[in-house]
Amino acid sequence: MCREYFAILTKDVKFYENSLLVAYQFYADSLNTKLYSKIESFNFETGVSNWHHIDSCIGIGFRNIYADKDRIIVGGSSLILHYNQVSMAICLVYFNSIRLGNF
Amino acid sequence: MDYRLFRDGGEIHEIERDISGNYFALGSVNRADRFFETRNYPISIIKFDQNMKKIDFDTMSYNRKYSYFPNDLVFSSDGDLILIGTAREYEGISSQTLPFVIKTDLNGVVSTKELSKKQTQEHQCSLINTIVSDQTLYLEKCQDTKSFEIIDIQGRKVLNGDLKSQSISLHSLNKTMYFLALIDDHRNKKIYKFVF
Repeated sequence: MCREYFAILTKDVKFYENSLLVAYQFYADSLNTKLYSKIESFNFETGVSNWHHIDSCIGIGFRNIYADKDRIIVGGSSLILHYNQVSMAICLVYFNSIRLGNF
Repeated sequence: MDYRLFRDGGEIHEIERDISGNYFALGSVNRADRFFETRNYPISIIKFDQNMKKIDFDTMSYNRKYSYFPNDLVFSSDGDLILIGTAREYEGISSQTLPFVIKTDLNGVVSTKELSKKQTQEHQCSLINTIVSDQTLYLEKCQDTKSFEIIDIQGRKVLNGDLKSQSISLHSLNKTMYFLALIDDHRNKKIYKFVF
């Protein structure tokens, strides 16, 4: 499935081993209402990019990426429904660093 | 992939890990109200363990005159936390922004509190990145002049340049090697390497 993105925002950058990890937000409509987040793992020695779609905590979005030998963590915030009211929560999405090679 | 939600509100700006393996996340509280220009935002620090379970949450307002918009958190060489960002002081309907550097121990006891040069609404600069390596360096970005400066702990300029629409961040590879990464909204990347 193809998806057209209308606006791209660079939110954070981290170096990890030989890669530059970049957290992006993409708006998927021209009114900038549907927000998606992706991580790009750009190997600056080979020039090869791999992409990982973040499908949790969508609503406000991410602004930080962290990497160590154990984990990649993407931090931001999310809108949540709590007691019938929309409120804001801190959101952390994480996965094993080994998955970096499988992007 | 897994995720955690913490209902304390706010937004995460930076995550670092201490030597015991716990994570410290730097956040700001009540950013959900930012469209309404709510004042006196404190800084929040969330501590969570290796299993991503929250073990502590603290909010800090070092001076209630200011709203704090933190950007970066690092561990200093003596194990304290260094927080940097922009503080905004409201005077009536106008406001002024000031880059800030705060050094605090892990219990929240502040040892250094520095609000640098006062600025006007027309001249908006923010400390966005800091590196503690052989040197402590700060990256400052100015919206109005579309420029950046890297300054050392004594306030001396190390490097400066122009910025268009790029995102900019400073990183260290080892004790003397630094990288400056610039990425624009078309995903074009530039990586500069420098030795200090």
